[in-house]
Amino acid sequence: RGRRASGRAGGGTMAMRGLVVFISDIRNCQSKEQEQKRIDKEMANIRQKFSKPGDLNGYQRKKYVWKILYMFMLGYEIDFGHMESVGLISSPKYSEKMVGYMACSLLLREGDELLRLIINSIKNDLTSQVDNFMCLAMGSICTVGGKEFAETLASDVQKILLDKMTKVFVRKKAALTLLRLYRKNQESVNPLEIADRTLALLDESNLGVLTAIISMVLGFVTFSPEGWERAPQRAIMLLTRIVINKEYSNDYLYYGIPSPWLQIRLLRLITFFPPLDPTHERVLIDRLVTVLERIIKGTDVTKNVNKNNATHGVLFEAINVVIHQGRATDLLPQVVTLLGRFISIREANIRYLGLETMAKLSQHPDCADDIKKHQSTILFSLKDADVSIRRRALDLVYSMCDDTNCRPTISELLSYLANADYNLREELVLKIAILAERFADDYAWYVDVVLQLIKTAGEQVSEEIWYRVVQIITNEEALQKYATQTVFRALLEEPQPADKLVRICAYVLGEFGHLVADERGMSSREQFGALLDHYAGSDLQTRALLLSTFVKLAHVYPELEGDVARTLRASLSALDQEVQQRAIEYSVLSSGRFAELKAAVLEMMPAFPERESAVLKRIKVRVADETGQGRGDVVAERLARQPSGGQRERANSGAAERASGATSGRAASGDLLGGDLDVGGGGGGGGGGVDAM
Amino acid sequence: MIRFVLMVNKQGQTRLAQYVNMHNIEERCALESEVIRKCLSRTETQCSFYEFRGYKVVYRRYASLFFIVGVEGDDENELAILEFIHALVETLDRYFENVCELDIMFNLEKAHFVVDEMLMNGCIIEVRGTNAKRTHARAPERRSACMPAHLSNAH
Repeated sequence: RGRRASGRAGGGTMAMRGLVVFISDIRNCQSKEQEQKRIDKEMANIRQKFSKPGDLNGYQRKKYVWKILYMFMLGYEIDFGHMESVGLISSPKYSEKMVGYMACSLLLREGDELLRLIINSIKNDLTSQVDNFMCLAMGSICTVGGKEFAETLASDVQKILLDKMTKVFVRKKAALTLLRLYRKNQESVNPLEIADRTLALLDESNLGVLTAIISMVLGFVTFSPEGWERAPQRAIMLLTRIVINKEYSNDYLYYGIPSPWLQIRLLRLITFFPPLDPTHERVLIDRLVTVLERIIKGTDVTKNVNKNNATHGVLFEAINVVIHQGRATDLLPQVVTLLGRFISIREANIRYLGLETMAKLSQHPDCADDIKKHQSTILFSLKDADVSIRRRALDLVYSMCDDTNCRPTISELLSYLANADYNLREELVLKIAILAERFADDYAWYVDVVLQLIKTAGEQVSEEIWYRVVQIITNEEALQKYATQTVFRALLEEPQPADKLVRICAYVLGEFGHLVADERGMSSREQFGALLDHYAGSDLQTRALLLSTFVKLAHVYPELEGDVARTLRASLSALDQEVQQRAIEYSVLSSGRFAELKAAVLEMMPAFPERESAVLKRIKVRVADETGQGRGDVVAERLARQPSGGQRERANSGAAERASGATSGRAASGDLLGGDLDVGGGGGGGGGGVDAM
Repeated sequence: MIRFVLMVNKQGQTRLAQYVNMHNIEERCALESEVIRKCLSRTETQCSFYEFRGYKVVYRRYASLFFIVGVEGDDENELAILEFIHALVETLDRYFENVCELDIMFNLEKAHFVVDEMLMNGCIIEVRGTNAKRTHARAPERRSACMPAHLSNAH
């Protein structure tokens, strides 16, 4: 095998035999130690050679740098050879220059000091008028170019891009290099200045250049569409040229399709601008519709996998455009049918994309009903063997949930949660919580759902969720009694309740326990007893919360004072700082000297002010982490847009967190509840607790 | 934006690694091994995309070598990337005449050239195999130095 490969690599006598031999040596090493030894030997050799740079000719330097690169790729740390690479860049010989640039791109990182040294070389190459050198230079800008590069080199690159004489393959690179520089430093390029001339370049017939330029325009437009308003028009005309008029050279046919990548980019570009206006842009819309129809109708399933992928890639992009344009085109119904078919197809890739696109579609109010027809298929996909598909299905279920189908959807999701795999769980829990809150017509049901969540997946339930429940209970007087009963009963039933359950119970009983004290099995003693049972086994945060509850209970029920005092005393020297502090402060507070202060501190919590849901914020962050920027916003945005049906927004989690700790006598900093509430005003909101004594 | 292109074999050995933003060596090793592990654990019937650490990973297996592309952000069409991988393989195939893993290993620099021609700044710029090859043929030295004569003429 080695012989055959090195024969081919030879090709001529000038190939770097030294490199080939080195690679064979490494491959023949039997063990890691042997390999390490060989590598060390080589590194020592090269180091020695580099210490006498005058003795090396270009060829040798090149060879050594390639060896270094190879070792680097294998995973060994390289701490020398950088200067030689930089030196090679200024060589007039193409092959040496090339390896110099490549080494710098691979070994150096953006922001490295050494990069400053090469800026000048790059500038020389850019202005050298030698095509290959210009390309190399631009290539390296794209890999390691940073802000400094942008300042110095942007104008040179711009010139290359817009110059009429630039060769095709150079212009391509110039377009993308300029984009890179712009991304690094927006000041270095002025889009308004170049927009018109760039769009004029689109008359070019070479599809490769067009692809590069469109990618560049897309990049610019992501920052701001200003200056590029003519772009959608151009895009549509280009699409017409390619798809309808078939004006392209056969060079660019990919399995019979003219440059699918270009088509995809053009379609995507259209979605970055506002949908076309039917009254003013009728002609444009008609052209667009012609193209889209041709694409949609012309896509068949073929035997050839690659052709299939390419045509469907374009098709999905076209579908995105249809969705984006909304009612301007009349193609929505067709699209919905297509997607409906896709999500049950056997081929996994198409199913995946079908589900993903349908999630985008579900943002459209018109299509909601059509999508619901496929509900059973979608729910079935939740159980697909492929985790990627399950994720997409979950997204879709989440975005298509609305008033009419929320209850069955949520029960389905809850039963799915019981068997869901680990990495989906946290997201699933968050989504269920959000959906339940949004579409709850009856808050009692909402409380049930969250309790169920805690019971099934206690650990994945984040803090924000139970804070949210508490806030809602606090704000809805009618709910309080039911909630307290249910939560308490849940605690009693579980032999080993999750910490979150204990916490929620502790807080709720502390605030509203008096509402249920008359019920059987729920007397004050029983409340205290149940909570005390779990005290020792709970984690520190829960214990801290429990202490707060105990002191509240003692305040309301004098008969418990003795037991509570005993519990507090036992914790006076607890190791955890929070627990100890609370124990001490509460003991002192209850000692009788501070009756008034105590009454004020232990009053019931008032209603929380309105603010953005922290749970919603949390899911944006979480989904963005998991899937990259765009997706999270889409889902959360839709919920934000939906009418909340008269539900009030609740305060954010930070407030609740401090609220649960607020009953310690600490001076309520203005930060309590985010500073919207002054402590004095609290009395009006919930005086009930004290009065109920 | 394409963030990385990897060619990794089934034993987890990286044959080619091109990153748009360089990470340090430990991160890269960790990333590469995670990625290949996930690819290996997926079956033929599952789809070719999965999500990993904020990237969307598109992969395709050719014999013993996995071609893996990591994309960040929402602006890439997955099927386009899949076909880009195929176009890349076709180009390598034409360049090396029935390319195999060994070819890539021993001709690392040429494999890098090809990838560099087709990908720039995280965007796909050239997918015509002959065009990518032609650009390399232009480099006068390289024509004599590296490429057998028949390849440079066989557009």
